[in-house]
Amino acid sequence: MTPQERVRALIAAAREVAEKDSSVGKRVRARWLQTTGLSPEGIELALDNSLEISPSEAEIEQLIASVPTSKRALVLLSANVFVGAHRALALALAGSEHVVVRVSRRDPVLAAALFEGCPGLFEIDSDLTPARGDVFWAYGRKETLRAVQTGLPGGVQFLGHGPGAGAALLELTGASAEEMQSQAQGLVLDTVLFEQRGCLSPRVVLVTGSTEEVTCFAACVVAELTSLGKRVPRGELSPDEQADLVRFCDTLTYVGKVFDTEPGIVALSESASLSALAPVGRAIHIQHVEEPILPLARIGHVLTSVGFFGSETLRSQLSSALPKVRITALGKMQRPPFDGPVDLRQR
Amino acid sequence: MKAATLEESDALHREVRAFAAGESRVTFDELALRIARFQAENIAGFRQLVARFGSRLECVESIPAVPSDAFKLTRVAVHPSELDVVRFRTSGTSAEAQGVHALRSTLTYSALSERFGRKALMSKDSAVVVALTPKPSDPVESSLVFMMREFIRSFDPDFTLDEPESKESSFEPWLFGREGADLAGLKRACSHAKETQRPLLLLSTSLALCQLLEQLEGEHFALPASSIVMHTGGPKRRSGELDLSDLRGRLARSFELDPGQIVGEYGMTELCSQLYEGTARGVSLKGPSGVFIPPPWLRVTAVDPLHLRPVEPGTMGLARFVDLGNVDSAVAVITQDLVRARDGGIELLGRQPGAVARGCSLAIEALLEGAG
Repeated sequence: MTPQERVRALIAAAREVAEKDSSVGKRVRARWLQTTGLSPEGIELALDNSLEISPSEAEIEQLIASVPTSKRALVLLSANVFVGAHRALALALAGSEHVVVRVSRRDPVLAAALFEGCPGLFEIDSDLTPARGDVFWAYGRKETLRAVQTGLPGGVQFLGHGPGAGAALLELTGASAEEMQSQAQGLVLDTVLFEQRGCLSPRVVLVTGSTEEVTCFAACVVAELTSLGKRVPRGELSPDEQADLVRFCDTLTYVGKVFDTEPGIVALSESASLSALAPVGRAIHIQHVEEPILPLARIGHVLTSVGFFGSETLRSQLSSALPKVRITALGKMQRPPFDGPVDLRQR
Repeated sequence: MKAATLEESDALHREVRAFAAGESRVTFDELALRIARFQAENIAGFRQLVARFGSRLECVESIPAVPSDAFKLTRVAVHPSELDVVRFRTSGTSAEAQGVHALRSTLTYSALSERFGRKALMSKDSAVVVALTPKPSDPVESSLVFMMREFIRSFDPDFTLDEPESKESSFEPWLFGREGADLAGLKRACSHAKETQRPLLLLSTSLALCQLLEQLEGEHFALPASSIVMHTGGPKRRSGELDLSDLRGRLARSFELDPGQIVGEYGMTELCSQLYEGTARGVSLKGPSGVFIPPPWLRVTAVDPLHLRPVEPGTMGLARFVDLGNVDSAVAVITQDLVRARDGGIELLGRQPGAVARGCSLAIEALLEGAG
């Protein structure tokens, strides 16, 4: 099989999984309710928006061009956002004919379903034994990646993808009411997807503009979060996640203004400090700042994606300051093109 | 800032100092509530917090605690910045990640820290006091270093109140430089303590003491009998790197001291008061090892992180402090330090780690590490 055929075969299997009424589709949805912490509607939202089942031919070619080739690729999957295994497998298959995967014990659902959907395309093994010439794709926590890399024999190419976070930057000066609303809609969608547990999820929102513009935008975000919350109930939060939300809410009540939504929290402040980032669980802290690039550059080492709205001048400053970060439209942060790894920090 | 507000603040400061000196008829609860109402009247953020909690500030438990993160995000003060006399900064990886506790007077801070420090660390009227930290330059931005300087001034007669470096002292009290701990300086301080028949009081962070032990390379460095080593820090971010009971044992062996003479201190930039272990011989503060005892003007409660209600006695919870010393900032502060009430004090159990990342998102602390 050519790389293109391997990737397409995987996408076809993913399409079957995404199909709500297929037998595999029903099965995985039931399992995901237990493994993801998302509501059924949250799972559908993620499948609709973030499982890449119809990439263009150009994207597939770009994806293939983005990876190193090897006879064999090993993939160590983590309990990533639940659709993450798809791209991880596509990347390995794009570069190697022989792919061996160790699935996450915590969330093996998608990898197992894709394996079932395209038998023989890759192997699943609980024990990866890297050898010279292999490419080793690893996903997980920083400590895990460090330990794996340290234990590799010589001649193995290591490609590690650790955790990360997204940010949003909006230049609101002169924005129309319609633009405010559509940007708020995009930001809320990016936030609600995976309940901010993804490495592309926005955890920082910096805005520039007048006080009136920023206040108006915050009101739009509150309305959109409330509206989407009705259609897509929040999933279950762990006690620790709930505690983080309580702390966030109390802190921002002191620092700025908090708007409770059902479910979620929107806060507005004039603080430029990124030292109290929004926790997971639909928490949006809109920070009204004068200069947004410097604070973002300071946390550039952990940023994977910036959802952006604003002038070309600001966009160009942003891309110069953060050359390894995907800059996308709001509402598209969680669906980057299927053109390679989502996280470009390793590049 | 209105003159009346300043007057009220001054009056509260005086009342807190009188309370600490045992010269006040006002109870802790009354004073805490007076300070909370004063802050609610003069700090918009605190007023909002009070409103959110639906509190009428009728009892100490109903005072909403300001999360320590607020000090990083905004100014936590009754007074405007022009009136600041010191700005204590929390440790942080970048200026943005640092919290600031601004004081418009250090009188209360000094009085409270000196009073309880004396109880925990002084077995005689005076000592030879040295600090394992670089010589500070004004303005001092670390509350710990500020407190160390106060102790040097108050407890060591070799140094005048105004000039801790003056007089004909034969040694320098600040014993940490680019090369690490100043062993020669420490030897000189020891000799001076022996000559003057005073105990040596060594003030340090736990990390600086680790560095000192490394420099000693296993050699013993006997301190005069009844010396006390005060160490602080460790159970927060760097807990994984530092085993405090191990450190205590190594220090006791190395300095040839009874382990009880190694006294832990707990303080934080956001507070004006400190807690100590009461283990040293001859001091008036008494308590078991590992238990940090608050002064009468500081109340610590372990609360559950979700509802912020007190947990059952003996159960672990987040530390909620009501500190009468924080007249002009936040009388009640909640931290992410985990504690358990025991024997009239608290045990420190590390730091609430925040939610474990379930997807590929980053835990909040991890995001901040390395920022800047």
